Amino acid sequence: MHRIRKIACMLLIFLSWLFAEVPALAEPNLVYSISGHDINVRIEADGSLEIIESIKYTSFGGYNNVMLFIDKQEGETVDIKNVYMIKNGSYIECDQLSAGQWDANVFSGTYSVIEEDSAVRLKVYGAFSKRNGAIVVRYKVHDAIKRYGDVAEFRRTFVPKNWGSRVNNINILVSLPDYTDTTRIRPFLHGVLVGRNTVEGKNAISFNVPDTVPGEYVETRILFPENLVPYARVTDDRYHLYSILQEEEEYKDSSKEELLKARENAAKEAGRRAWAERMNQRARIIATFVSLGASLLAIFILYRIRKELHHLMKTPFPLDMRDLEKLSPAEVRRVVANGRGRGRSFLGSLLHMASLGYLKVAVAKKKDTGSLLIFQATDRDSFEGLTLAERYLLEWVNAFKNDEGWFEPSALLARAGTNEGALQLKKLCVTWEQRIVEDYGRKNVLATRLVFYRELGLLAGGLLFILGCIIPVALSIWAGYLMLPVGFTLFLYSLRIQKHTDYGVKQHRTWKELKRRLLKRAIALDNLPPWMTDGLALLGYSIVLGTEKQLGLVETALQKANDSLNKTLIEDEQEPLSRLIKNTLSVTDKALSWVQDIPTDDATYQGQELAHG
Amino acid sequence: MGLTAGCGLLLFKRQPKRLWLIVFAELAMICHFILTYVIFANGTEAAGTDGLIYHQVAKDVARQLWSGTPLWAVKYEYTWYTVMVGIQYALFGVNRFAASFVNSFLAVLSGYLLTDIALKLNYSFKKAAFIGNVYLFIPSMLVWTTDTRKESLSFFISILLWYLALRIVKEREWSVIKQGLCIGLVCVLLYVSTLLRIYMLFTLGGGLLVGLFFHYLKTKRSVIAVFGVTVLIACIALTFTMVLTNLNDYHALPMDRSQGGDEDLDDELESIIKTIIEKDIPRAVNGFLTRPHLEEVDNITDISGNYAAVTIVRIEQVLWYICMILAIFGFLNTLLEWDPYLLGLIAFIVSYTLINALISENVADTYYRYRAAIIAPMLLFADYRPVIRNLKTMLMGKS
Repeated sequence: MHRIRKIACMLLIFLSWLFAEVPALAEPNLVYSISGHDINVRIEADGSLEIIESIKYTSFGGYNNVMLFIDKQEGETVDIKNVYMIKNGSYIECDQLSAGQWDANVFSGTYSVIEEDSAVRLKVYGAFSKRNGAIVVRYKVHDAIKRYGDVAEFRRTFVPKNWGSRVNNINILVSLPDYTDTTRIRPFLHGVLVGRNTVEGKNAISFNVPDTVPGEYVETRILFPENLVPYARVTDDRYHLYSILQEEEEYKDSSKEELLKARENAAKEAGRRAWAERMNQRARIIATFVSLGASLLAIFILYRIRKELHHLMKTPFPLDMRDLEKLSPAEVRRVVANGRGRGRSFLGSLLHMASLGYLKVAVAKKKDTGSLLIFQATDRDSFEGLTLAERYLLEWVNAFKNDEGWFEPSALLARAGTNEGALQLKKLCVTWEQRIVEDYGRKNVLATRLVFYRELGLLAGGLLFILGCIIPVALSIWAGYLMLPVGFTLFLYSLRIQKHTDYGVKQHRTWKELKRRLLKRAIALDNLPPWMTDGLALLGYSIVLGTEKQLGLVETALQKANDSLNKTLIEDEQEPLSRLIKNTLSVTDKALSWVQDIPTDDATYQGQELAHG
Repeated sequence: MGLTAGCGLLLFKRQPKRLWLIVFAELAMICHFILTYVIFANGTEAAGTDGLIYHQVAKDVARQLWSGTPLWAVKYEYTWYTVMVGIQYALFGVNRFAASFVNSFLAVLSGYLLTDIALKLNYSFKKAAFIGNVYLFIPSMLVWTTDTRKESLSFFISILLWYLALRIVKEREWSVIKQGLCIGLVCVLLYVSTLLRIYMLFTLGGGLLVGLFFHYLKTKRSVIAVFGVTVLIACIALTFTMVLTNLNDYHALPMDRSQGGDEDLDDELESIIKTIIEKDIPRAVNGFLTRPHLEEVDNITDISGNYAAVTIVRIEQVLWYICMILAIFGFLNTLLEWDPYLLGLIAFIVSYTLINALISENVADTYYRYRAAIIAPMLLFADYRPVIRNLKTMLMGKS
C-alpha cells in the first residue's frame, strides 16, 4: 500500500512538473522587456526637472497595462503632466483615472498614479497590441537638485534595481539650465558594468547604456556649478564636492560583485531560455509523435481485443429454442439492454419468482394509478432456482409489504418521492444491481487471456485519457487531444469486455432473436424452453424483452395453467392484461428511475442489508 | 463576522463538526480584513485597477442617486456591479472599505455554499470542509474577492446558481410553489450573471442545460423537464434581449476595445470570429489553464518585485496544477457514473475555459483572474479515490 502511495506521489510530482515546467518552455519568448528607453531631462534654474521618458516595449502577446517606476527622493514632488500611448499606429493622450473623469473608456488609454515612499508608480492602461507597445510620459520633479555651498548635484535612478526584466537601449540626455565650462561638469553612471557618460557640450550630458539585466540599475549623477541653479533651494551651504568625489572613488574601486552576479545570472537565464526553446521544439515534435503513436497503439489494442472476442461464427438460429440456457429476467434485461429500464427487470423478476411459487400475485385497483399487480411472499423456505439477485428481491418484497402483507409497487413510488425514502431505495437498487452483475459474471467468466486484455485495455485506456488531458494542454499540441476519445473508448470497451465475449455475444444474439420472434408471433409455446412456458414466467420474460404489447402467447400460456388468478388476468374486460402490465410497469419504472440521480457511494452501499429497509 | 457565523450555523445545523468550519471561515474573514487594509494602505483612491475603476464609477452612481435620479435611470459604466456598489454608497456613504468587506462576506458565503454542495453530493464532511476551506484560503481567491472587484459577486452568483440547481433536483419533498420559486430564482441569477459578464449566460446556462438534459434522461422526473425548459426559454430570451443588444458596448471584448467600440453587431460578431480564428487554440487553452507560468509570475506588474507575493502565487500555481491533475480522475469517474449534475459542471468548466481562452486577451494576469471562476467547480472533482473505488467495485463484480 505504501509502495503504491509512493508511486502515486511520484507520478503526481512528475505530472505537476509537466504542467509547471513545460508551459514555461512552451512560450519562452513571452518575456516582459523594454526595447528602447529614451529619457530627456531638462534641469531648470529653480532646481526642478522637466523629464520626458519614451519607452518602447517588445511584445509578449498583448497586454492591458504597463508600469513605470519614477524615482522620488525625500523632499521631492512628482507632477505627471502628460501620458501618451501608441494606439493604431499613432500616439494618443491618456486620461488620468480620478473622480469625475469616468466617461473615458479606461482601456482606450488611461493612467493612474500611486505615490509610494521612494517612488511613484505610474500605471498606464490600454490595449497594447503585439510588438508595438509604447508610452511617452512627461513629468516634472520639484526640488530635485541638491544645492550645496560649492556644487549642485543631480542624482536620479531611471531603471530601478528590482526591475524584473531586461531593458535595452537606454539613452539619457540631461540639459543644464545654462552653459558652463565642460571641466566643471562631472557626470557619473552607476549600477551597470557597461555604459558610458559623455559631456556633449557646455550644457548637455548624455548617458548610454546598451542594456540592463535584472539586478542591474541605472543611476545617473551629475555635479555642476551651483550658480547654474540660482533659484533652487539650498540644501546645505557647506562644501560637498570633496566628499562626493570620495564616494565616487569608492564606487569605482568597489568590486561590483552584485553587478557581475546579475550579469552572470542573466547570461545563465539567456542560455536556459535558448535551451528551453530548443527543448520546447523537440518536446512538441516528440509529443506529437507520441500522441499519434499512442492513439494508434490504443486503436490496435482495441482491434486486437475485438479480434480476440469476435471469432464466433454467425451460426443460424434453430427453429425451436427449447435448449436455450436459462438466465433470470434481470440478467436477460442486462444482456439485451445493458441494464437500462430497471422497472422492467424488477417486474419481470417478480413475475418469474411468482411462477416459481415464491410469490403470490393479485390485482389491486387504485384510483390514481389504475389497477396494479401486487405481490405477497409465500411461506416457501428454500431458495431453489433463485439467483442471488432474486433472493435479495424477495427480501425486499418482504421488507416493503403493507399491513396486510402485500407488496404494492406504488409503495416504491411513495418512497421515491421523499428524500429519505429515495436514498434508501437507491441503496437497495445499487445492491440489487451488483448482485445481478455477480450472477451474470459467474456464467460469463472471462478467460485468462481476456482478463489480460481487459487489464491491458483498462491501463492503456486510462493512461491515454489522463495523458490526453495533460499533454495537449501542457505542450499546446492538437495531436494530443486525439488521445482523449481514443483512451476513453478503449477504457470503456475494456470495462465492458464481458458484453463482447463469446458467451455474451451468443446470449445477446439469442435473446434478441427470441424478442424478434415474440414480436412477430413467429414462435410457438412448444418451441420455448420448459422453464419459460409457465404463463407468469413468460410474462416476466416478455416484459424484460419489451414484447409486452404482443401478449397472445402469454395469454395462451396463462389459459393453459387454468387457475383463478390467470383467469382474472385474462378475462377482466375493464382492465385487460396489457393495461395492467402497463400500469404496473409505469409505476415501477418511474420509482426506480426517480432515484437514479442520487450519487452512489460504494463504501456505503457495499453489502447493504434490508434491515435498514 | 457575526453574520458569517450565523450563516454557517444555519447552513450546517445538522453537522456535528460544523464549529471548525465556522472557525476557519471566520479566520478567512480576518485574512480578508487584513488584506483590505494592506491593499488600501496608500489610500482608497489610488489602489488597484478594476477595483479602483468600479469604486469611482460607483461613487458617480451614488451621486446620481443622491441627486434624485431614479435607480432605473442611473447611468453606469462597464458593469452592473458598479450600480450595486453605488447603491451601497448611496445608502451608507462612500466607503471602499465597506464595499470590500461586503465582497469578503460574499466570498465566505460562497465557501459555505460550496461545502454544502459537496455535502449534498454525498462527499464526507471532512472532504467537503476541505474543499470549502481551500476555496476560502486560496491566495488568488482572497485577493480577487477582497477589493471592490466584481469577482466576489460573480463567483457567489455562480455558486449560488449551482447550489439552487442541486437543491431543486435533489429535494423531493418541496412543494410545487417552492420549486417554482427556486426555478425562477435560478433564471434571475442567470440574468444577473449575464449583466456581470455577458458570456456567463452561455457557460452557466449551457452547463445547466447539459446537466438537466442528462438528468431527465436518467430519471424522467417531470420537475427536471420543467426546470430544463424554463432555463432554455430564459437563455433564449436573454440572448436576444441582453447579449445581442449589449455585445457592441461590452468592454471586455478585445477587438471592440482596440477599435474604439464603434462596430455594429455584425462587425462585432465578425471581429469575435476573426479573433477566434486567429488564435492558436491549444496554446490559448494552455494559456488560460496554466498561466502565469512559474517564471512569468514576477512579471505581473501588481506584484513585481514583491518576493512574498511572487512566492505565494508560484506555490498556488503548483497547487493548481496538482488540482487539475487530480480533477482528471474526477472527470473520468463522472463519465463512468454518468452523474448528470457533475456532467453539467464539466460542461460549465469546458465552455468557460474555451470562451475565455478564445476571446480573452493573452495576458497572464487576466487569465489568472478569469480562471478563478472555475476553481470552485474544479475542487469538486479533485480526488482520485472515487474512480479507483468504482473501478474496483465494477471489476470485482464481473471477475
